[in-house]
Amino acid sequence: MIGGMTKKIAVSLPDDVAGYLEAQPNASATVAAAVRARMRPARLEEMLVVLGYEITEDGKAAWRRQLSQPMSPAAQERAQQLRADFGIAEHS
Amino acid sequence: MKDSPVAVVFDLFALNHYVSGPVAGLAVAELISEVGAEGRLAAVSALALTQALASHSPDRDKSFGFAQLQWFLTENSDLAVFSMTPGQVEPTSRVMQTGWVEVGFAHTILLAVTHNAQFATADPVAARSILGLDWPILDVSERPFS
Repeated sequence: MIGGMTKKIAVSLPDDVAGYLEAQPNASATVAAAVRARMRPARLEEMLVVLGYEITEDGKAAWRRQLSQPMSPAAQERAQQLRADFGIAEHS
Repeated sequence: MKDSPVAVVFDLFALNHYVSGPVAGLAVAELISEVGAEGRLAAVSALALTQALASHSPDRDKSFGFAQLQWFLTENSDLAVFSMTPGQVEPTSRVMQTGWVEVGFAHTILLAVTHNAQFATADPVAARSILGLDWPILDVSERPFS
């Protein structure tokens, strides 16, 4: 990325998106942040592939299933107990 | 409570497994990739990362693993490196006493508990001994469907 360089681009947006952008103090920064968030996963995976990791959709899907599991009530109880034992606050 | 953006924390065992090579470390790479695709964060303790870097010597600049760990520090914004804050010093010492574990592992445990995050490791025994049997622990020593 070359910092500081910008380019003016005309795009067509749905009314609700255009309305949201018009209300932002810096519409260009808002658009750039949203697009960068969209770019990041693809760039990360490209990097891993370049490094030799042959990422598969099956592998990611298997992790997706595990990541989507909500923390069980027993684990939540354990988390509360550990936070009390260690004297730490939950992320807020 | 606001949900933490941190989905998973990786311990030193997971880091070492990841950098052992593209075949052995594929499960970790796929997990990092999936977390990034979901717009969430994979986290690592700066202390655990320091330990992993220290294990690569003396020709570490030429090693594949060292290069991978350096990449965590520079390019990969989806892997968040958490330094120890002053407020975490005393709690981390309590984790160390509870589990008789070293400081990097204890800080990783602390991050998991703070963020209610899943715990990724290639050696689940140590994590289970502190976090308990019900905590979601992801064993990255092998791919989840193999």
